[in-house]
Amino acid sequence: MLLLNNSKSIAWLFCSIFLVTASVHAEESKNEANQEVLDAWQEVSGQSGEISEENDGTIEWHGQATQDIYHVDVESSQPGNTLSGLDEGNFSTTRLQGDLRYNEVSGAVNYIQGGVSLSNDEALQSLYRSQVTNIQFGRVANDYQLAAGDVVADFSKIGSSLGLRGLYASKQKNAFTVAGYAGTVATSWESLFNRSTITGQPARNQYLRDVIGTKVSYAVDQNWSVFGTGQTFSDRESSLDDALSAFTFSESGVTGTAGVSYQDEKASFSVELGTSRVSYDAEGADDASDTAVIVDAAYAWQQVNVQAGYHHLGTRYTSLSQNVLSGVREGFVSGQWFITPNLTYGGDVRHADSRISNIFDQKSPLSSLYSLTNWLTYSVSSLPGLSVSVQDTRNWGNIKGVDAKNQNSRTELSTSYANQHYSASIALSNQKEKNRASSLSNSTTDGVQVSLGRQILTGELLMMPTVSGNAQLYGGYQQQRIANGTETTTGNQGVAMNMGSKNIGQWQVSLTNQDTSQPNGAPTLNTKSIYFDWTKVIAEVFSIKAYLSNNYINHGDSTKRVDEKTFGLQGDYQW
Amino acid sequence: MLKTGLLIIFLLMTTPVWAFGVVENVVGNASALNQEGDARSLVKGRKLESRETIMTEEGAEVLIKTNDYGLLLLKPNSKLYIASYYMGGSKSQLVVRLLKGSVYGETGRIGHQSDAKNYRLLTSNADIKFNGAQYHVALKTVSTRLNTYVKVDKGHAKLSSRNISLTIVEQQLGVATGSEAPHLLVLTPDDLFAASKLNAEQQQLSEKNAKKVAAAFSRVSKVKADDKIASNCVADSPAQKVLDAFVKAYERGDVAYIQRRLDPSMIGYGALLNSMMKDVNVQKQTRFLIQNKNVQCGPNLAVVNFSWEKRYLDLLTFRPRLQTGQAAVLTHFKAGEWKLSGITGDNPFAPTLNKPTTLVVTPRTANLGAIGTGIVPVSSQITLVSESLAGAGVIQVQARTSSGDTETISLKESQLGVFIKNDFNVMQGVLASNDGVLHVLVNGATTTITFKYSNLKTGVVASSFIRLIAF
Repeated sequence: MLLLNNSKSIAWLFCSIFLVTASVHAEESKNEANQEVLDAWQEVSGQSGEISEENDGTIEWHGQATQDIYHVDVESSQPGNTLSGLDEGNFSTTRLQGDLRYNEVSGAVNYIQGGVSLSNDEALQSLYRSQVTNIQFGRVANDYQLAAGDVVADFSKIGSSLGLRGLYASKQKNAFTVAGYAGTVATSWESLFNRSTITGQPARNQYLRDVIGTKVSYAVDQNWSVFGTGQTFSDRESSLDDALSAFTFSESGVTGTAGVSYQDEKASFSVELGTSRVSYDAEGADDASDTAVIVDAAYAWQQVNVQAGYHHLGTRYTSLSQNVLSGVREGFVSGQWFITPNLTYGGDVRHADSRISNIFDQKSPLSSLYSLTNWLTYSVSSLPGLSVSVQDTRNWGNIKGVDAKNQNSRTELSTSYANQHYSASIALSNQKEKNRASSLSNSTTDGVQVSLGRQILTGELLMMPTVSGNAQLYGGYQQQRIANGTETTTGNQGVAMNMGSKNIGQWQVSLTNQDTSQPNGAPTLNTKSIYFDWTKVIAEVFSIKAYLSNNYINHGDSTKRVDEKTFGLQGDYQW
Repeated sequence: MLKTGLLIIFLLMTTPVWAFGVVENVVGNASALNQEGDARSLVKGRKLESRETIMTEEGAEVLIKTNDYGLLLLKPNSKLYIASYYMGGSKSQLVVRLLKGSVYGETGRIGHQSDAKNYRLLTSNADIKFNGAQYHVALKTVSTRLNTYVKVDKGHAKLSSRNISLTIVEQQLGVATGSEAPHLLVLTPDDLFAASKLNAEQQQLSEKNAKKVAAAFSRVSKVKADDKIASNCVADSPAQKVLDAFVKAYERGDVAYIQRRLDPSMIGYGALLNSMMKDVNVQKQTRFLIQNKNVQCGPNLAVVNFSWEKRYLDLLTFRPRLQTGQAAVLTHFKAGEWKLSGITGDNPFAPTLNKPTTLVVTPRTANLGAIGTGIVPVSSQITLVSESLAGAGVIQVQARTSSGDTETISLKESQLGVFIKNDFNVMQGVLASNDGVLHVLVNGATTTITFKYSNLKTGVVASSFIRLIAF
């Protein structure tokens, strides 16, 4: 915990671990100079991108560098960014990604990998001109693993399943495996180190959360295993700007879970129980304890697959798993039945009760939801490539004590055909929304979508086509009738093509047109889009791309009209 | 430093050709056709590259050691096209297409990676992905159909045909006919794999080769180690594409697609889908903008952190709406594919559960130059969305200028849980709190007004801001 309260300490810890790892294995490695790396590389360059040294192991160095230079024009009928998130101007975006590995003869691997993105386009990077996308280094051997930087801990569904900036280690001894992590949960490295943003906004909009966790698992046999996890977290009170911290509160807590799992070729089963305690730094808020249990199972017969589960997480249950939604009690059964080789039925039925609570344990009304999905697919054996399917999903929801019943459904009937040269599909859909709490927006929507495709191949079929590509025409119509007596319709048409050959490279183009009528006689919104790109591989590792994208959105209504035009060049190098 | 610099420059300038492998042994007549159409007889030691087609005549066989330490034995009267071979972290891939005959194979490093999509064998009616496998694939005409048979000795394979996938585990035989779903066969057709079994001499060669491979590379332990290292932090990795595919499907209202890509055992699965179906019905022309993305990766888990902006037209009014937030999605590698398994922070797909209260001011900028000593209404809409405040009718938001003036602004509930005020008053001048007007001191190019909602009794908090800029 001491270390966790100071980001500098963590940085030092990273460095120390890396240096220790490096120094320990320096003796094992006879690669003492870069010259040897060069020699080895030259020895095999043009072979596999791998530097081989038969006696001492291998070094692998892979990566990718992508440079974009582009121009964006935006013409919006409204000030600000309500209609478009793009910014106008000339922009440059550079992405670098690298992965360096030293593979020892023993099978152990030492590695460092990371990436950075540099851009002056605030629509892409709104806070920083340069941003770390990921960084991790470590060592993996047969029975242990060490990692630092951007690490993830995937311990269990209701214990720890998260990403953090810190350390991770695991060790296997016979049937036992022990793993642990320590670090800080932050939205980015920049927010962790509170780097000043280009807009002057605070670098953080949530507390930095220091976390520690551990897992012990025991493989009883090839199929059965048992495990336990323990984790604790604490928000750094001083990590948030005063203006923001006045409107939120920091938390700290501890969670323990235990579970059993079984896995074989046909069946899987897992049970996990958890308990947690959380404290809030808010006046009048008491500490809270709660529990959770999840059970999941699956079985595959020759013709039938079934999956079922039950999850019950208390409203105040807190953990370091990003899978967790507190206040949920749900059960489901889902499966597929391969009735004949041509006919498959699938179904999913579930019920969920949910309730959220606040730090003062004031519970919201209980929300209840029933869901049912059925689908059927039939492949016509007399005409290979032809299939028909129908899918229907329905939800019935209610909030106890509140007149807020809601129902929605979606039914789709579709058929498709594809052979080596042509494809075609047609889909009819109907969807309904009924909600007593906002009955004015209840609606029924009917739609149809059609597409036709043509696959183009010249030269020896599927071997070395001199030209390959495909073209697709599509169109659709949708009518939405709204409970307030109005309706809106949408019609769309488009064509998309891509083509490629060894000489001319790959290119793709798409044109779309969409008309949407507004309720109450307001003007129809017309949107047209054009997209084009051309990619040419100069060498197997280097390619260039030119692209153009024009969107003319909502023409016909001067209050919603926005035009976005982008064109640019991209170079991509991989090694 | 100089050495390091030279090394980096050298590595960047070198453009290796991705060799596929080397011929380990040839029996009978076999040849390779390169992409220029030149055919060459195959002999032991001959290197093979991508886009070459290997052909064997009657009674001939070719044993190939791939550069990732795998094996391929092309049987008599067979034709195999090397479609793609690339070594490069998560992008590593081996794709071959069996055009005729049969082949026996053992996956190497590529086929041992956790993402089993990287080692593929294609036929005219099947796409087969292998993971840690020793396998046989044969093409055989039955009646007028060309069937693809796949037998797995070790590891497992995923046989896909007509958009339906079948997992084949050890000692199972699967078939894809092209006219029906791929399925398992109980008995091996008599003559199908007889020719694919290694004879004593080949077996000896195979074992010798395998030992050589193992000795040179400590294959198993190396592969195991690689499996524990994240390979999904590159921009277009399958783990990250899950989010992109989700966003696109949500934009076009394709809930069925999203449903197929969710793990049924995901906690909150039903509520998430229900919420998406609601959204599809009340939002028109939805568009997402993903910003500030960074990733944390493990072999089977990735966390994508990002901020987002969602624009759409409200169904009833057709007014443009903008929602923003900061979220993280969790993707898991399960049953052969990456699936979304959790969303934290401000959920862009707006689930009912745990949806945080949001306070949004749009537009977020206004013209400071237009603010004078008289009261000026700023036409920025303040919207607070909170399910836990549903039914409250009116709520009050605190506003504070960067000059220090504070005011209380009332927002009326326009629909259940949605509170709106379309403008607020601003003027230059002496600070005077709680007079209904936000006072700003114009002594720079910009000034900021922060809006906050806080209710410690309910624990609900939210904040947003607008910047006044001299245009």
